[in-house]
Amino acid sequence: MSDIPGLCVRRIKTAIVGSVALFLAIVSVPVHASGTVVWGLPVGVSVLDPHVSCGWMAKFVDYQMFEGLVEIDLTRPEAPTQFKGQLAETWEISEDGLVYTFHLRPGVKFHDGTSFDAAAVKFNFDRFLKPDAPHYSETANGYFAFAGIVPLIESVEVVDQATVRITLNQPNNQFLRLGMEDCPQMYMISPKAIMEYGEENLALHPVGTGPFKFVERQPGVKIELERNDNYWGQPAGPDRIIFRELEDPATRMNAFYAGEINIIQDPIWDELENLKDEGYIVTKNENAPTLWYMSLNTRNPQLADTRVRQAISYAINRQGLVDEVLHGFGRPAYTMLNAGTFAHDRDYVSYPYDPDKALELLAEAGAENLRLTFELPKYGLGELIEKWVQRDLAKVGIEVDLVAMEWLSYLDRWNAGMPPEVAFTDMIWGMQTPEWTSITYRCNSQPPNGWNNAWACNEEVDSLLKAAVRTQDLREAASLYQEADRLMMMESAYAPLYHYANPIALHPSVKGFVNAPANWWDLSTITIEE
Amino acid sequence: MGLYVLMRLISVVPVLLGVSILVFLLMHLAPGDVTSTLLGPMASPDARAAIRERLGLDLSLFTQYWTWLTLVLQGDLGVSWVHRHEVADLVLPKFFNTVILASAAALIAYLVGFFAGFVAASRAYSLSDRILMGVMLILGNTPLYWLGLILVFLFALTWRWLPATGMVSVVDGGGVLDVLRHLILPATASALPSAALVARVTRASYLEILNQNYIRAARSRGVPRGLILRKHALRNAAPAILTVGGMELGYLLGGVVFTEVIFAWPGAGNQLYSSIVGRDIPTVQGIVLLIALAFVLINLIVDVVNAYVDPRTRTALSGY
Amino acid sequence: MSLVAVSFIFLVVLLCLLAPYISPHDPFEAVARRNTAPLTGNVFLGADVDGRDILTRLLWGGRISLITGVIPTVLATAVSLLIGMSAGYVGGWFDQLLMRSLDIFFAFPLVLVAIVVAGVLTPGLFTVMIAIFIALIPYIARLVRTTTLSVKTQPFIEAARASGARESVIIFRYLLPNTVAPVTVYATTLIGMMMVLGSALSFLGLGVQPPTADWGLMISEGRTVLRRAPHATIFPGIMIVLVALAFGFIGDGLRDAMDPRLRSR
Repeated sequence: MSDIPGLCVRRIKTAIVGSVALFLAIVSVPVHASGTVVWGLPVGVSVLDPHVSCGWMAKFVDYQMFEGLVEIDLTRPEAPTQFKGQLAETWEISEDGLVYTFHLRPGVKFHDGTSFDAAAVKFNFDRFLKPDAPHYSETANGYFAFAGIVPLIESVEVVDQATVRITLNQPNNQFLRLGMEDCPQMYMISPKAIMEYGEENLALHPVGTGPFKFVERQPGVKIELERNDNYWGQPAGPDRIIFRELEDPATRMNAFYAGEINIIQDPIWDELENLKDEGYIVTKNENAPTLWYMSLNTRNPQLADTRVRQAISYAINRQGLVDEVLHGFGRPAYTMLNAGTFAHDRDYVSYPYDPDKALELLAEAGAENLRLTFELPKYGLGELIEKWVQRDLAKVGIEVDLVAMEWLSYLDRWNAGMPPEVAFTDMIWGMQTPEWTSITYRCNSQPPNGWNNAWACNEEVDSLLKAAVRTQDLREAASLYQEADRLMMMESAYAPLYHYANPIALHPSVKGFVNAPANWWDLSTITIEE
Repeated sequence: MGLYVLMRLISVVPVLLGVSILVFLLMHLAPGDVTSTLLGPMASPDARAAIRERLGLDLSLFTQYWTWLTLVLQGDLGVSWVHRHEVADLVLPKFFNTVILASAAALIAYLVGFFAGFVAASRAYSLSDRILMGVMLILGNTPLYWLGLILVFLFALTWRWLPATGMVSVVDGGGVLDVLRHLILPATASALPSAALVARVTRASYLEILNQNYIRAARSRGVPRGLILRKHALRNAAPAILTVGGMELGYLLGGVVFTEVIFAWPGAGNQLYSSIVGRDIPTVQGIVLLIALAFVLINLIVDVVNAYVDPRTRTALSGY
Repeated sequence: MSLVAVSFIFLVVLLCLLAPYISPHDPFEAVARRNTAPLTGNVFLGADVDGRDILTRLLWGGRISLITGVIPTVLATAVSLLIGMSAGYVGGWFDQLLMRSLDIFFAFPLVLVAIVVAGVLTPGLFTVMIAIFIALIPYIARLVRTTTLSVKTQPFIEAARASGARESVIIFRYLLPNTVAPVTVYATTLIGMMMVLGSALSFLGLGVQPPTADWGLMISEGRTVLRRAPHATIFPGIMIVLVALAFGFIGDGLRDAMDPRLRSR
């Protein structure tokens, strides 16, 4: 440095020492505070208005703030899930299955201090049932109609301040469960908030009765809730919940390793073993109603022959996929009745891995030189599942072209049903009710009326499904659903790949979390130990 | 000088008009169906038609543009289709976060770049000059997203010195020190590639000036070299360094998209990315417009400052 | 230094061109356990998250990455020559119109233009090239115009004109060669930068799509296993840096060769 007297060594030293000191000061700022759950969400959250929103993430956030008359008990890990009275203490169903009477819990207050009563229930139902109500929402009506709830309801009556009666126009043993799904959510919103904020702004001010209250939302960044100290039930464990929207898997994983979130949903699969090795708690639930399945387009000329579709089902090594790609955080799936429903049969294996049988069937059908298009969504992990399928099908001489799309573009195409030139699409989905198979399989569930996007149709299946939902005997219902499922699997218009076990990793300080068989979880049971 | 500033300001108007047309058009040329973004998967064809009408998507392009422009001029950027949130409310705080990141990155780029260029120039053609400029050259050709990944890997995951994501600690965060901690990695990752250019320009302009006759004369009169470097040369090398610095700040405003995605920085770049992917047209328009506005403003300031420092550039107006 | 760079680029181009013949494995086939470390078994530089050979994919990916750097830059240079020279040569309102239109593009940072253009088009190799092509034109065209303006007033042009040379002769014999030289230098330095930008677009998922091998995409796929298999991210990154660096050196070398005055720097 002798060449530049201006920059003498001492001054540089001072500068370096100064920066190091500043650096250390910055680095040593404490990170953790007690009592806060910071959850890394894998997908962005849509609007927080339960009646006009879809999606597991929105349902998950809403679940902490809102309550329904009856809810699913997510404090137990066993499947199928059980009901518990929430805003209704008890309820009765008439023998013919048409009249539901709910006895409401007294003394419950919304977060804005207004009282919850039978009038509030009626007010909420009117929002999507009564076109002349001042707060009627056409969008909400559309959502509930699509979920099959609007066509079912004959009337909603206030019997007295603490009793509500809902009459159906046909028996449906899955009526309660239909309202507990994510799309839409049959939650009770404060009537005052509905009137005050209107449809435009309600989602920015969610007001429910649940164990947590809304604090703030920074769209695309985080949603913050705090404990509702006036909750009618057991007060929640955490003081605060912060949901961080971290859609990029690598970034989400980094945030967890760096201690910036203490719970991560869907960690990168290849990190699951390493997480355990490093002392984190990795939870899973093999009975989650979360099925990864492919649709096999029956309108694709190359797939028109049932034997070709069956061959494809035989050719996929599901166990290998679960072991190698999912590191055991799933179970091979051989049925469309997912593991979370009461109709699931664990022992039923429709198409075991049998490439020889696949080759045989292909030869029988005279199918040669198959080249098929597989449309799929991007989910940030590099299409691991679809590439596995591609490789397995290559082994029986079927060439597959993968066409990956952004999620929303994909959803458009998936909803519209496959055009003939497309052979496969896939989806991860499922509900806790076996009625899910109705909306994905019945002849009249073909797009645009439902999600039967492989254009399957079997009238025998339809009548079985219709009978299953009408009976009041759930055991009978289960066997009818199973019978329908076996017929569906013979058609092989859908190829289930695996039951996803919903891996969720926790920081060792997080206690009391229950990985329930659902796609959303009850966070009020958590405590954070220092 | 005043006239120059005025002329320069006037010249910005047609540019901004063109910018607005481009921003408006570009997104309307984008493929994809808006209605499913808005209504969710279960929308009926009727509902879809109704929403198209409500958004004015069935009107002529010119009418749509005119409506849009008048609203934008009143500060109304529309409503985000994905978040059902005023775009201005959604984007402005995020844009502010981006400005924080880009400014910090620019500061680091200038400091590192200027210091490296200065030291290299003063010891030109020596081994340390070569090593220093070699390192700078490598940095200048490094993809900043890759650099970001490596920095996270080392400083956040391996040594755990610094946070890996976000702008503040979600729990009890928000102080200046807290933001600084979160700023270091993304700002450095964004800055280093730019620092290389600043270093190169600094070194080159210094060397050029050191070879000028009046500097040689000063040296022959016995003025110490350090003084020459600091006093005489700096003033003359400033315009080039300033220009490249201004340009870099503009690039940083675009380039931080990558760092924001990797570091989950709650900025406009990150939002731009997810809005592009989610086809949230009003939000994309809002962000692109804001960045363009900022970029035009930066260029304006750089030109004016340059004109002040070096009056010769004022005459270059016609050719700019 | 630039000689080394030229030979390096030559070598890389050669290896990438020969990828189908010399690469040890198929670029799309899983040949080892997923995320295998380098120097194990049959994978010299390790395997990626799908168990594919990284060395093979580097060779194949180089083809795509080089294309995204070279092709749009060359095309943009050609178009810019047309725009810039006609603006500079014709002058007047024509010049003003063209240049003021380009000014609009200067209101957006280059990276932003590329991201938005790539974002609104369907992702793919072609999209990356279009995005870079559009983003580059204003910059190169402005340089061409400035150069044209200064060449136009050179004494030798005056001389040619005085001796009765036709317009076309002036343009193609005198103007073009003297404009092309500095633009070539500029374009060469841009190639490396544009390759980096192209890989960045693929990194964001707006560019080249899987399963195609591309260096940017390889980094993007590798980073989900950054802790478990850092090699999958590091090797393609190094390739991008080296090739971009080499193009920078070639640009410098070209400039020195064409303008000896600058060599003293």
